[in-house]
Amino acid sequence: MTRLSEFLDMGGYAHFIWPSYAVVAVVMLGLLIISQRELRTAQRDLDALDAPEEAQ
Amino acid sequence: MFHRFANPTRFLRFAAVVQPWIAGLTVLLISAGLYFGLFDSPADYQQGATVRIMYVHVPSAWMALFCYTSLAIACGVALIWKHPLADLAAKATAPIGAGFTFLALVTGSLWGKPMWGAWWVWDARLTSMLVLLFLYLGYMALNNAFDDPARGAKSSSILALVGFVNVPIIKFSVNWWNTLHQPASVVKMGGPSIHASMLTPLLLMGVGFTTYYLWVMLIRIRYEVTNNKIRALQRRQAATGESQI
Repeated sequence: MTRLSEFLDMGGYAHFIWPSYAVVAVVMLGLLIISQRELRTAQRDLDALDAPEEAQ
Repeated sequence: MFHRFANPTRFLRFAAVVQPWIAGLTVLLISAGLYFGLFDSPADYQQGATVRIMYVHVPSAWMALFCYTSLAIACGVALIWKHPLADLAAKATAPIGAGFTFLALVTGSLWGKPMWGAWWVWDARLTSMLVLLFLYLGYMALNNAFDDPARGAKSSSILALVGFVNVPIIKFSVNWWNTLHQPASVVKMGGPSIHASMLTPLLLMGVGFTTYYLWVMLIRIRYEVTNNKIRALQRRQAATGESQI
């Protein structure tokens, strides 16, 4: 086995270790991205409400 | 168009200044933690490589309790002193804490299967953590259950405070009951009993998850403040609209 595949194999526990890291990455990155997107849309809505005269 | 910001503008300016630094620190800490955890630390003499799950499982569990404690404190401050920002901080914290509790349960289950031979057992530590997840979900549901946000905030704050009794139960469950889950190895009497090679990545990830929490909480508070401004403007425009007719 090459060094890489030996590393990825994680002593035969790959099926438990990599999914653990994957689910942590998905939830943490997902929450961060969703929160930033929500903030951006809210700020855009606020700007639209603020300056309807110039917008028209 | 003159609009009065009812929100603490000073807080928004502080958040905007601090946030990039917290973001950078988070990326740095978690990358270092992942490097040491996955590449530069030994496997366990008994558990083999599965010990590497500890570097995401334990920080998630720490954060689940840390976020709930912050949530309860924020709710207490909001109820006692009617501080508007405390309510927003609590509302911002809940989804992050729920996420960490979910992660602690899932990574724990992925570690339990190879080591204990079971995805789930009704063990005191695991069961009380599951209750914590339901408390988070209950808080969020109750918070949005009312049209009037103030009533939602008040009733969910009471739930959060009542539910706080679960935090010490989780912490000491491994000592009070005969649990399959192992007792504490870091935050305990006499200090950590883990070798430095494993403690380093664990603490790096722990601090990294904490700065991540501050980062996302700042974003969510700014979102809540912006939302309040939108609602205030809509109410004012509706009021001025009626008076002109």
